[in-house]
Amino acid sequence: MTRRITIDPITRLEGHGRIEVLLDEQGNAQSAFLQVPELRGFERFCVGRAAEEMPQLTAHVCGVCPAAHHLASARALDALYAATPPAAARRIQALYYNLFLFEDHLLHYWYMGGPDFYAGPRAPAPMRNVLGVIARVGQDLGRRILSVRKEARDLMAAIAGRTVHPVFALPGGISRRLEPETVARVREAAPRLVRFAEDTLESFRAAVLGDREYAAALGSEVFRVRCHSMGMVDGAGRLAFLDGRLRIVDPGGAEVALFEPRDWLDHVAERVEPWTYAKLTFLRQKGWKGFTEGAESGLYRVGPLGRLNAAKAMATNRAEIERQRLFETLGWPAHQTLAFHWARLVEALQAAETVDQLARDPDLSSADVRRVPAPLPGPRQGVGAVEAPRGTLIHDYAADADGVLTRVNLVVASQHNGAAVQISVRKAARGLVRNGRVDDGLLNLLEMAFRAYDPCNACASHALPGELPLVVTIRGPDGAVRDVIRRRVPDDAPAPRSGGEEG
Amino acid sequence: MAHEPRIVAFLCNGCAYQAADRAGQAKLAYPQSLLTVRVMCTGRVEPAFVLQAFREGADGVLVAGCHPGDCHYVDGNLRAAARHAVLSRALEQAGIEPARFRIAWASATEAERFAAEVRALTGAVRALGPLDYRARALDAVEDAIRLAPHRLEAIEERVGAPRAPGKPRVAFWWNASCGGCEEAVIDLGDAFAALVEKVDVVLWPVALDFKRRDVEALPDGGIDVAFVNGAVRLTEQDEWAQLLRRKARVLVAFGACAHTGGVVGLGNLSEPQEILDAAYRAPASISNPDAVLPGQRVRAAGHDLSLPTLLSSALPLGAVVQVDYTIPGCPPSPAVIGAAVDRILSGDLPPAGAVLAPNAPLCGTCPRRDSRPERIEVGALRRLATSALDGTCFLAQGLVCLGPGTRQGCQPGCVEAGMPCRGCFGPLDGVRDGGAAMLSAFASLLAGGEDDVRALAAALPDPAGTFWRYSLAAALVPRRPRKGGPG
Repeated sequence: MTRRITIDPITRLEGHGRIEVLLDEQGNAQSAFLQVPELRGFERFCVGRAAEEMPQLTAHVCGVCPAAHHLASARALDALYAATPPAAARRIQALYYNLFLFEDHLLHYWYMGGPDFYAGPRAPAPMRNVLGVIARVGQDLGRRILSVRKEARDLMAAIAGRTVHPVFALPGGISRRLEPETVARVREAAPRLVRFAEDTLESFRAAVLGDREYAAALGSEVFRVRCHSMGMVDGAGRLAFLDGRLRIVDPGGAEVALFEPRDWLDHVAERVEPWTYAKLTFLRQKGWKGFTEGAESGLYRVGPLGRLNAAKAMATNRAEIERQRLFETLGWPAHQTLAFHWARLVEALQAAETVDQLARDPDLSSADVRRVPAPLPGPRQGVGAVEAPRGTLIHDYAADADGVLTRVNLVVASQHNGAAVQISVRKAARGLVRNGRVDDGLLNLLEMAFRAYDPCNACASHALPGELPLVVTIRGPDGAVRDVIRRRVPDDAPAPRSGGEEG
Repeated sequence: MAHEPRIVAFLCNGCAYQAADRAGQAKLAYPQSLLTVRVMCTGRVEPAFVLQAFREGADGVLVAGCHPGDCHYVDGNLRAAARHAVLSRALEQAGIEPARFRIAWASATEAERFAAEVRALTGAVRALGPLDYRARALDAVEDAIRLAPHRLEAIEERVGAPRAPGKPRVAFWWNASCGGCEEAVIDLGDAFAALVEKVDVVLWPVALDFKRRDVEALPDGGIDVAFVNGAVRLTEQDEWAQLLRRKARVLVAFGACAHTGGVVGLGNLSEPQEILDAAYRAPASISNPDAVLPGQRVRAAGHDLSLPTLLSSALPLGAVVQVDYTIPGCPPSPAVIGAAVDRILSGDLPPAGAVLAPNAPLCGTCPRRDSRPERIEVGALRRLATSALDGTCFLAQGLVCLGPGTRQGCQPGCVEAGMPCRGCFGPLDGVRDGGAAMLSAFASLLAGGEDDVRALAAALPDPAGTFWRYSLAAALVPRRPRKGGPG
């Protein structure tokens, strides 16, 4: 007879997510599924729309990373219209995008990851939030944690028009030049952003690497997925967020592919599973080999750790020093899932350094921000890709001669990591659920198994104290509740219904 | 017996109504099922009238007036022609055959011509069969009732315990949405911190720990204010809407998706099956040899796994539960959120159903408003993609901008960033269908003779997705009919 453990809903995920842990007769985890029960249908309802509306329309895919969709779409339109934005437009877009990566990465760290690391996995729940973190790191850094999001986001709004859904991208450039006042603000803020990224890394090293328990978790097999890595690199093989080629390395670090985003279909395929609305990507040349690890599997990871593994170096000096430290500690390529947090901070430093460089670029003040493209000569296709905070984001469009879309395919970061997340959850479940015994440690570790990936909507909770609340219900073969384990859920609240058992 | 189509005819007082009268006196043969509405001029016929006629059971609509050049109001019939041309295309995008909506010219003496037009429309509509607006409109609600077993219990009279003492209990929930509304709340900054101090948050999945069971355990009326964002696209989202309606004293639709369906509503131009095919079967990247679709109950490792399913169409929150107030925008701006939340929490409650943003069109605050000419004439359409833009009124440049029909409150928004308005704050008070109103307003600017306005209307890309960008789910536009069952 089998039993199941249902965690429903898991919060801090785009829409609603749930985890089903399926047990065998001995009560050991046999398998686990992270289900994503959400579908809005963008790939259908973007068809028939005017191409130039896509940067705004697809920003609505995600209110957390609208900047990534906005610019991936802008690049797809540039390709569609064969338009080359002037240097100033590209600089301004890059400035905007690096500000976005900076704030998104650091706020994930401080508001989501930080509480686990600073309070300790077994600390009382009330300490596991940003207030607990601030108590540990002190007033000065604490105040900066709170103010840095606002500063970065205010600058983003000044550049792109709105904070949540940007509106400034057009084929061939952007809708308006930067105000001189905005340029001055960016210049003034940039060194502060770099310092904050550096101080965060320093704090991470002290809090996490200096802690035996975390060092052990970092190296634990439960938190390791050996698979390929993919990320964008510039012409010199350095890590890029925009305007590069995509590079895939195998689990040993050997290059498997280096290609222009427009050729993505030669390398990436999508699999449909009936139990989740999220499609799962895999390497086309390897084929779908199930949820398996290793060089023969077609699975790969993207996002901060995937990008660091796939790049030969960081694009900025201080970030490169930090990259080397990371791989000296963990080995290269690194497959430790918890290293996503570390890699995220290295990337945040690169983003801040890039903001600082761009802030001093004379092109930033130029009024020449758009080359207006000619109408399409006939049906055309265009692919745009950027590195979103969570990984490679691909927009692939086809339009008719009127510039109206006839086909839209969006491949988002959470899809690339989808299969690896399943492996992580299964490993955590199998490694931890023994003889039907479940304790608070399981809850924490199951959570850490997928939180490191920063699954899409996790970052929406950046500004709040945070720890994933979990309720696990253990049911016997007869369906009767045998045990309920809860964390950060009031004891007088009833157990959640077992989502997998209802319609 | 063959279906006898119901035709509504809007006839101008100067010509077509007289022609119809003569046709009647002359006992000319034309279908007697015609319901006529006399208007002073076809220029008075708003697209919303046409949509309302369909909504109230018309299978076809005729707009008939004086010949171009003979209009008693100079060129009202050309405005009607332009609106007809744009609206026909929008209806076609929604799966409504253009033959159901006809415009014709007949002078007062042309009785036979009028009768022939009616015969032609009736014949075409008879061949198409009934429009069945009601079934189209109700499919999704029907799905919600059929697929969500808890619904009937939810629509019982709300009793509600007396309001609990202490801080107001507030819930935030998301349905089919992007998370941008959550970001907008967090972006309130200091005001957000102050808000959290003033209330007890009892549900906020993006940030806090409470589960569905926790909400179910609250007494009815145990939540003082529930802010719900997102459209209702999946069965589970309807269940949450019902649950929160039962538990909340005040239910607030938060953001464009809950208000008017948002961009999710554009999915209503397609059937659920087409949405599933486009996501899981059609793309070249898909490797799906067995053509698997998510949403069916499946067995995995000896267990059932299931997912909520798509409703026939996306719905605004107000289509499945009674909404007390609305905070509009995609996302709502910090100023609008702050003012609305203060008002609700202070107990200074606005009239039921109020939309909590300024009831004035965006043009009033547009930085380009001084460049708007007294009379705008669009002689050539321009596209954002391929046009160099200047700093003057977008409409005067021949670009679609929904500012005239859209509520203020976004500022700074798109127009401040050099881009035209797309209407996310929704229509002003009293406007049933903001998309129809803006379609009417823009089509009425098209300049030239009959052929010119028709050519301009034909060149306008994607009218349905342009005028109803954020509001198709709440529009009067009939939905695409359902061929099979729900997705």
